[in-house]
Amino acid sequence: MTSIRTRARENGLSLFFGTIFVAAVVGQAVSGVALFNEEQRSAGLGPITIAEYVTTSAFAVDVTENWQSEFLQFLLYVVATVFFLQRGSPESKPLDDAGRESDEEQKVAEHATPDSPAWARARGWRLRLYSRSLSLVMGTIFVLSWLTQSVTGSVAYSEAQMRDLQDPVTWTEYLQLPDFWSRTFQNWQSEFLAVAAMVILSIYLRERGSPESKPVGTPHTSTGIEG
Amino acid sequence: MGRAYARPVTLRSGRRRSLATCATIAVAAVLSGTGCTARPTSAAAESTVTAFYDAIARADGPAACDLLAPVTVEALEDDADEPCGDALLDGKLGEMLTSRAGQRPTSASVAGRQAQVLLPSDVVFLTVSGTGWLITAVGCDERPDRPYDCAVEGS
Repeated sequence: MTSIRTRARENGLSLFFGTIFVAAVVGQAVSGVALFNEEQRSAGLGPITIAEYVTTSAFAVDVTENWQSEFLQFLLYVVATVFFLQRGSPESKPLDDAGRESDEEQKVAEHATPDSPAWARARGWRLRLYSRSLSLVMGTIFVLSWLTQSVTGSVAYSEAQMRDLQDPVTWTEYLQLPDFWSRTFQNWQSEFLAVAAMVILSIYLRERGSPESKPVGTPHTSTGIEG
Repeated sequence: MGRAYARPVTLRSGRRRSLATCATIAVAAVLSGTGCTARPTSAAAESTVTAFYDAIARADGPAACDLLAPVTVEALEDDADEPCGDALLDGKLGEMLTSRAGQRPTSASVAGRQAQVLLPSDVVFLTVSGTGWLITAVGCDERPDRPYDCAVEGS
């Protein structure tokens, strides 16, 4: 039986990022309720507890506006790296390898191994679906979180409007307002910049031992090689 | 990021599916904004406004003041330099509120801890207080592209 220590070691990456994700959400809740209560006090209203705050649309929109952009980033990254190349970047496939690749390279159907996932072994809708499951799931999470951002954002916006003695808005009105698009684009620009920076910087810079980097001594012109 | 092929692992798929379902429900419940706390309804906001104007109509200033948010009472008493119950019924403010007292709400909007109730010739803003609503601003007239101009309002 695999020991707990071995399991922890073999799943360290997800455990690490899962832990700091939880810590960051807690930090967002703590700082968010402080900011919310600042605004409440400015309007002469009473503060709320953190337990109340995490059930508000104000908290939900702040969370989901970030989630949607992250999953959009991964959706675009997963799909773009199928077709687009970048000379010298470990984030790119080799220069002669653009596209969905051959069945043999992808180990599907008759080229599958005994250890291949079940839906990779036989041709049909299951193979077609599984072959794009990563982008489909990323895309679905992106759409759902963007939708949630829009709904909770319209409520949070309307709440702030009424606190300032102005009219609330409907969801469809909110979709046309600068608040929605400002939140959306400010998140998108940072995600796209991060990917572009990673693609380009990894051509010239190295991080020994990371699969996101080329080996330290690899030439800048080497493409699609990871450390 | 980067290309990697997952090593085969045996999945406890049934347990994972139930855990995933529970996590999804928990996340959806939190993000839905409803949470576990009961929030007052739009109907309750309309009832508060009706009760306020009924109190004005029978010249019961203290009862009307009980339905105002503390910050609104404080602002009113500072401006009028008299107790809230008298300030609501005296002078031009009293005349204006009394003239609007016969109206009934036509609609209400609720978002989070704020509400707006529309009457035929008045707009009232409210905030959550405990399990009910208190009025933050009343006797409000619309101004294009600006906050409402309210006869009684907090800070």
